[in-house]
Amino acid sequence: MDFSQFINQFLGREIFTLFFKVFSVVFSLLYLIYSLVIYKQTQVMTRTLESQETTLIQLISLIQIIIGLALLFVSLLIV
Amino acid sequence: MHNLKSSHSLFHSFCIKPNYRFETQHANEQIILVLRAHPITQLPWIINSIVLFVVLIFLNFVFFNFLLPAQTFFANFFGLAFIFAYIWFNFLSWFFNVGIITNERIIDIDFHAVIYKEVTETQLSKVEDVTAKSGGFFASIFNFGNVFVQTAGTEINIEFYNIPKPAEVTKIINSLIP
Repeated sequence: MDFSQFINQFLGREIFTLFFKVFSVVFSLLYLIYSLVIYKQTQVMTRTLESQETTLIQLISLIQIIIGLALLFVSLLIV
Repeated sequence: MHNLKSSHSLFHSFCIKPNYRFETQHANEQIILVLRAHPITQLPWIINSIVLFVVLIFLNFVFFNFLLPAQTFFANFFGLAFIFAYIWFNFLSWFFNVGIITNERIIDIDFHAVIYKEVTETQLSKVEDVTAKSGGFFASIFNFGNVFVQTAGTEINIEFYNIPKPAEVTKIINSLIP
């Protein structure tokens, strides 16, 4: 018995899909909150120490928020 | 210390007279040295990131027949986002945990787990003793160690951990003490 047969036998395909959906939405939300905290903290950090890389660092933190939003979008509409 | 030339060696972990500014910098205060942990001390999280990436690829083979295409896409997307977040978190921790030596003060900026900020500073005139400690196999090979700055009275002591060229840092601080 392989892994997929094992899960299908004990949970059923539909229940597993539902679980996957719920977990993906929850984890995407957590990721988005985390990326927002990191973005705010990056602003504090770049204010504490200003360097030539400040803009790049803030941009990368902003990209992390976009990734969080994309994850939420995928988990809500595609999965 | 005016003979020191501006340089950024060891992946910006030992910057002499860099083009940086910090929050509490005075009008005529000049940054002499900015120190970060030696890049070799960052190797554990770099290796962890590579291992996580390999694990993600391996999991794709294990669950390929089990998950639906949309679920596989999401799992991979989330896995990559997680690895990216892990790398970025560790990079920020390294980049902003700095020791700054100016012509007036010694400042230690620490961000514990990124979200807790701690700034310690002391005037150069209050420095009593500077100690460089370096021990261990990697520390000897890559020339990194700890520098402890002891201050007079109840002033808090300043400690720089795993910084490159500790002996040179001690020499620079000693030459700045009035």
